[in-house]
Formats: sequence, C-alpha cells, structure tokens
Amino acid sequence: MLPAAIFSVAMVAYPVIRTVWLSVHNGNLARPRQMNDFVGLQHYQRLLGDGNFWHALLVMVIYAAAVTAIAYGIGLAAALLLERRSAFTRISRTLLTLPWAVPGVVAGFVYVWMFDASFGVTNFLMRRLGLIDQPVLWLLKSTPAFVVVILAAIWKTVPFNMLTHLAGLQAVPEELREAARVDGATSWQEFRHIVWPALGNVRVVSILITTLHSFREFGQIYVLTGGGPARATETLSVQIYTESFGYFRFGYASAIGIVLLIASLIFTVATVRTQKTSFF
Amino acid sequence: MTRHTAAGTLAGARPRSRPRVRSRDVWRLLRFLAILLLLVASLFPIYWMLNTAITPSNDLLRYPPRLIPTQQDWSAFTSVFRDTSFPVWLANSTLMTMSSVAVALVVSTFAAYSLSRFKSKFSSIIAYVLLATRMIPGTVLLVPLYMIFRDWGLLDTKMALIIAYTTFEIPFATWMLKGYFDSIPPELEQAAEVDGATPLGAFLRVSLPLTGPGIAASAIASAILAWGDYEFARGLLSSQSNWPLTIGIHSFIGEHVVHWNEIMASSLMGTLPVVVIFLAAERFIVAGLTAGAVKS
Repeated sequence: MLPAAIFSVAMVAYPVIRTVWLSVHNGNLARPRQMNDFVGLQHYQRLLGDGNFWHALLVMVIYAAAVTAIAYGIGLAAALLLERRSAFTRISRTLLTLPWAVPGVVAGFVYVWMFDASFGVTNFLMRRLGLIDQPVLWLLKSTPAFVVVILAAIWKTVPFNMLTHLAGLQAVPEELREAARVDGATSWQEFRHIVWPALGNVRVVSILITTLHSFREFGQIYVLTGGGPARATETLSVQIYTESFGYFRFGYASAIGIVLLIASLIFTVATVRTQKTSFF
Repeated sequence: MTRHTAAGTLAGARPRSRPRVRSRDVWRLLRFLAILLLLVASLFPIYWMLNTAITPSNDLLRYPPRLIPTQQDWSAFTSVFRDTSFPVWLANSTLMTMSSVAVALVVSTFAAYSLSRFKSKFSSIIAYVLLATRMIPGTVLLVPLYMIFRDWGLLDTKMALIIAYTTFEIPFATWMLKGYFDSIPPELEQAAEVDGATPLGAFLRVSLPLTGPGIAASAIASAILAWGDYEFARGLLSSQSNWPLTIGIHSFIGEHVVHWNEIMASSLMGTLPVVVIFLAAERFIVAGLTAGAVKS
C-alpha cells in the first residue's frame, strides 16, 4: 500500500519538477533546436519587466478579492437565513446548491448569452426596470466584461460558502447562544460576540479555498471573454495558457506558473497561520 | 401588555380593539423575501437555459425576448443529437470521466489507507502536499503534461486525457479518503487481526465497507472535476472526434452563426448527469467537503 501513497505524491511532484525545469530552459516549442537550452533565470527576469504579467497579476488579485469577499457575504447571509430547519429551508438549500453543480464552462455559455449586448436578457430587464437607457456593451468593453466574469464566479461560489457555513453554524454550541439570549443580548450582539468568532475556522477554510480556486480558474473565464477584451480579464492562469498554447513559449509560461504557485503557497500559509488550531 | 394599577393587575385593562403586528412576524416576512431573492438570483440562469433551449429558432434573436416560453419548441434537443457530433462528445466525456475515476479511486483508496494507518512524521506533511495540489492551476499542470504526452506520442488521444485527469484526481481523492480513514478507529482492524485476518484482509473486509460513503463522495467529487474540465481537453486534443462535451458545446459558439437554442439544449443535457448525481449524493459530498472545515 505504501507504493500507492508514493505514487500518489509522485503524480503531483513530477509535473511540478518538470515545470521548474522548463522555467529555466528555453522551452520555446516554435524553436525546436533551442528548446532545451538552459537559460537560467532569464524568463523570471523577463516577467518582472513585462507589463502584461503585472497587469494579469492585478486582474487576478482584484478578481479573487471581489469574488471571495462578495460570495462570502452572500454565502454567510444565505446560511443564516436557512439555519432554521423546515421543509422550506431544506428545499431552498438544495435549490441554492444547483449553481455549484453546473459545470463552469456551461455557466460561461449561459452568461455569454444573458449578457449579449443586443439580444441578452440582462439588458432587456435593466431597460424595463429603468436602470439604463442604452444597452450596455457587456462583454465588448473592459470594465463591464470584468464585471460579468466576476458575477459568473460569484454565482458559482456562493453555494460552497453557504454549505460550509451551515455546517459551521451547527457546530456553534446552542447553550452559549441560549445563555446570551437569556441575558438579554440582541440578535446582532449574539451574532457579533458568539456566532461570528465561532465561525472562525470555517471562515478561513472558505476564504482559502475560494481564493485559491479563483487563482486557478480558466475554463469559465476563457469561454466568457477569452481573456479580453484587450487582456482586461486575463488572469495569470489565463495568461499561462495563452503564453503556452498561443505563443508556444512553454518556458516562459512555466516561469509564470511557478510564480503563481509560490504566490498561492504564501497566501495559504499566511491564511492558515491566522488560526491557532492546525488542520491535521 | 397588562396595566398594573393600585386596584389590581387587571383592573382598568382595556380589551385591544385591533391586533398588533409583532416585529417578529415582520422579520419572518423579510427573511422569506430574502430567501426568495436568493432563489431567483441563483435559479434564473438555469431557468433561462431551459427557456432558451425550447424557444423556436426564429424567435431566438427576437427583441424583446420572451420571459415565459409561450411557444415551446423541443426540437433543439433532438437536432443536437441527430445533426451534430454531440453523441460522440457525450460518449467521450463519459468514457474519460469514468475511466479516470475508476483508476484514481483504486490508487487513492490504498494510498489514503496507508497514509492514515502508517503514521509517521511524514504523513501529515504528505497530507499538506496533497492538499497543496489543489493549488496548482490546471493551466500550469497542462504545460509539463503536454510535453510528456508529446514525448510519448499521446497527443490528441483520449488516453492522454484519462491520464491527465487521474493526475489531479488521485491527490484530491487521497486527501479526501485519508480524512475518512482517519475517522475509523484502528481497533476494529486490530480486532479482526486478532481473529486471524491478515492486514490486507482486515482492510478489505472491515475498513473498506465502512468508508463506503467516503469512497462514493470522493468518486463523485472527482467525476465532477473531470466532467467539467476544459483546459486539459483544449490543450491536449485537436480532433473533433476526441472532444469532450465542454469543448464540443463551446464549438457551437461560432464566428457568424450561433444557435443559442442548441447551445442551451446541449448544455442542459451535459449538465443533467452531474446535477442528478449531485442531488442524489448531496449529503455525502457536503459531508466530505465540509469535514475539513468544521472541527468536530
């Protein structure tokens, strides 16, 4: 059985090692003769000076922050609303989980259609409700496209936050909340002083997982915008794809990938450190 | 409210002439409306998928769009099956998902068991490493895999995708299953061994059946990951006959002509298996994925 465990780790380790190797070699598949030349830290130096890299990093950070924060708020609210067990809340809970089950690219297809500038239902509804006069060119302009990408991600992320916080709420000792209520605490005080701190562990895990997931996201963003318009929605993950399969610069793409991995690691360690309990 | 007077508690109390709305009921109404709002926001895109799928072709680009499908045309579902490569893509997705999950499960079960039982100072590091694999973006993993498959001549084959899927399913399933095995007390196996079973026998006959739900949850979570993959398929395949559903349906969004009813119909059909499995196994998946979040 030990070989299986080793195999399991090797499945991950080998591609990562190969990526590191690629990042210090030429790796340009369009130039096969120079492809395996050792280039040292050349790719890394290049990306530090590459405006596109920093832009993609910024896009990724804003995207991850917006999706994580908003989906967290809505997910927590949903959990609090559905806390009490009844037939209605049980059905609502199942229905609200559906966006999570929908494959990411399918969500992308629906949102492309809903946010079509001419025939999409979003512009239609917004006009009907008097919110806009002219149709918004959603996926055709930088900022609206970014908004759509974030919205689609929030839609798919809320269920996970809701589920983890429902589980977390169940773990809050009921006696503590009762005691607070008996002592005259308002709902808000009960929430702020008992429920919110007790959800600390769940909060960290939720934020960690949704942020890392945002760093990794590719398919949903790609079918929505392809990274555009004009790289407006190109996160690092998307850029890695366009560098490798668009420009065949596998070495450079690997370097970006390693940077992203290290950034994810740092973020994970920093987030886990904020909680005093360990995870294993 | 009772009025207390010097003459006694109830003396002077007036019967109420109209019922007072209690603030508790107002809160209940607001809660209900909030839940309703959430439901509408969450389900509207799915509803819109269905609405579009059954809209007649010449009504698709109509403005204003019909919010409720007064005319229903279900032919998009059959035309997708008949006139496109959808059946091929469906078969591909099914084959690649099921094969990779089957292999991944076997390896992961043994791996998770050994990590759980043979504890050393390494096992918690390894657990962290396995979890860390969830950090690796698909596009990053794609790069070395592409090179490897290129060397092995496996580009544009379904086998390449099956291997690629197991690459990320195994660490994920191992991590999930380790959690489950950790929750089974080793005393049960020790008792079986005292009765004469071999360690392997104890594993197969005692621990394995107990982790049934865990295995199911890991299998389903892994299947959902593979079924929805886009980047690996896009990077490793070129022939249309090898495409899974994700790439295939995306190809319907052409440069000039876009048949949204067919896209939505095929999307619904591609989503249905996942949703059905998900709903059937919801409890297990939720328990498995939130087990790490809540310390019991």
